[in-house]
Amino acid sequence: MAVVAATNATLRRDGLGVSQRRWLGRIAMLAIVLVALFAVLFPIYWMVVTSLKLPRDILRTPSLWPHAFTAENYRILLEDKGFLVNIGNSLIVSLTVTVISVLFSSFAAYSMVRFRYRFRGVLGRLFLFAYLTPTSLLFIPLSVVMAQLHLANSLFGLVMVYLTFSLPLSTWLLQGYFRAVPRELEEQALIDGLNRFGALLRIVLPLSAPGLAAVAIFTFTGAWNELLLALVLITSDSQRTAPLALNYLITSDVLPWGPLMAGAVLSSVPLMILYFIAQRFMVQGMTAGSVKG
Amino acid sequence: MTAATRLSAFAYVLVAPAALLLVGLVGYPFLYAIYISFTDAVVGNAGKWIGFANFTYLASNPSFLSSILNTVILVVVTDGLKLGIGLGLALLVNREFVGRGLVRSFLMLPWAMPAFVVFLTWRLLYQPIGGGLSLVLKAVGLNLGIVDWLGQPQTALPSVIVATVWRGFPFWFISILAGLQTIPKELYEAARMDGASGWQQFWAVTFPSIRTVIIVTTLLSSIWTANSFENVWLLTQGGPSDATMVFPVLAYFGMQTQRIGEAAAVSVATLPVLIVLVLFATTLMHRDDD
Repeated sequence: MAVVAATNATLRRDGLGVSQRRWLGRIAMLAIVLVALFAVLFPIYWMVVTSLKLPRDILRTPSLWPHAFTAENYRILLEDKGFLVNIGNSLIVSLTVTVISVLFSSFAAYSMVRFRYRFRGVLGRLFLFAYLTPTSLLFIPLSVVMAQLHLANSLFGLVMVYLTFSLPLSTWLLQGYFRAVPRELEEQALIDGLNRFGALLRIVLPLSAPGLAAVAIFTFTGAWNELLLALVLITSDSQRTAPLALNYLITSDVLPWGPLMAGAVLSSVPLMILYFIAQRFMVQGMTAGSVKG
Repeated sequence: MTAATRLSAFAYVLVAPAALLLVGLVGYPFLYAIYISFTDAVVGNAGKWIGFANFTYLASNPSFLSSILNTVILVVVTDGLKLGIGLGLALLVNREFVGRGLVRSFLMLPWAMPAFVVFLTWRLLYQPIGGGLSLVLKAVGLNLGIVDWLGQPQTALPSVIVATVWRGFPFWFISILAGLQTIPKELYEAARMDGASGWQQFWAVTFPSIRTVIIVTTLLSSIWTANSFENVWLLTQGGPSDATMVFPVLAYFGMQTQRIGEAAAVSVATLPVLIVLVLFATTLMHRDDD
């Protein structure tokens, strides 16, 4: 009865039939989705297309479609600017950060999820505080500390400072995954003669494999994307990471948009494909612990 | 040694490497930042204690005052837009339709793009000549002529805001969508049986279920947006004439002048607000297993 009354009321209000209203709703929805997709995809399209345009076409004959395709921008970036060295530096730093971070934070997360001890609550909060302490506050003291340790201008120093954000993030995310591992499985393993460390390695980590993969990707991306600390710490050309190398391309008066966008494509498209494929894991991981966006 | 103490010793050993690294690399620098903001330290010279002198200097520094105002505008406006767009799109994608999974994947893409790539690309989009934005506006019939989006004070901050929202909305979209998907369908059926309209269903069923998600996302996003460096640095470097200056960029410029005490004071001055936000966020996020 109530439903019929409500429907009649809406019918009277705007004089449209139920099916007409439904159609209008569908069209409006389609329009919004299309506009949103365009707004998301156009900048990505523009990045790719600019990287393939002839340098003289980019500013002189601007158009939504390229007149001719060229690989010249990629050649300039890779051969003249030596961008491969920067990609290599970024890979070294990001992979090292990922390995150290996933290793140490699995231990820490396991400890805080499975054991009851005096300072556990305090520690949990400290990891969260560390996660939320912004780089914009830490970059000045970190540059002083790294200089004192003679680690400024080195990739290893960069690895150390990137742990400031990757360790708390991966510990926080892994705690969520470890909680989901049934305690009984571990207890069974202990009865079967494994020690606690064995239970972590043989039971908990394999069962959290999707979580570990997601955490590894997040940690890798975090290090791969970082600009401010690299800008402050790295002074020599040979140690520059990919974001840093592109940053220095925009300090001139005339911006070399073609090579810049070629660099943007090379540093983002592999990651975007990875996220697209591993989407399900990534979303679960992100909603478990809120990853920086 | 009893079994219990052995076990907790093992627990401490496991947590120690990460905890010690964080004490050294976050805890110590954090306190050190506060300390040097009260000194006249320069690079290579620890300086001496000068009390609140750096802060009183900042209080009358026009760049610092604009950076505070711009940061507040940036945070409030981008959070509002990201909430509106994220919630709206999440509600849409939460319905059943053909190609829904694909739409969701595409809407997530800006989140998968590194921030430095996003803001370099937007800098190109905003170019007065050859920038994609002017070309698109022209193609849909909005011919504004040559607009130097990032070069004039009136349009620079809105331009930074649009690019920041573009990069940031997927995080809200995915978080809210995940929240929506935990709501049991029966709740909506029950509400419809009681004659609730779409609007009433939203406020009675949907909103209460995603309220915590929205609050946590707002807090996290505010902390990150207020402290973001790449957006302003790569788009405008704070210009034209401080129209887009934010405090992380100002602190970075301060550091380039070697006066690190003064530069640290820029970040430390915002600490009281940051601490309040962080305490709220950690209270909501911290989960104790007991």
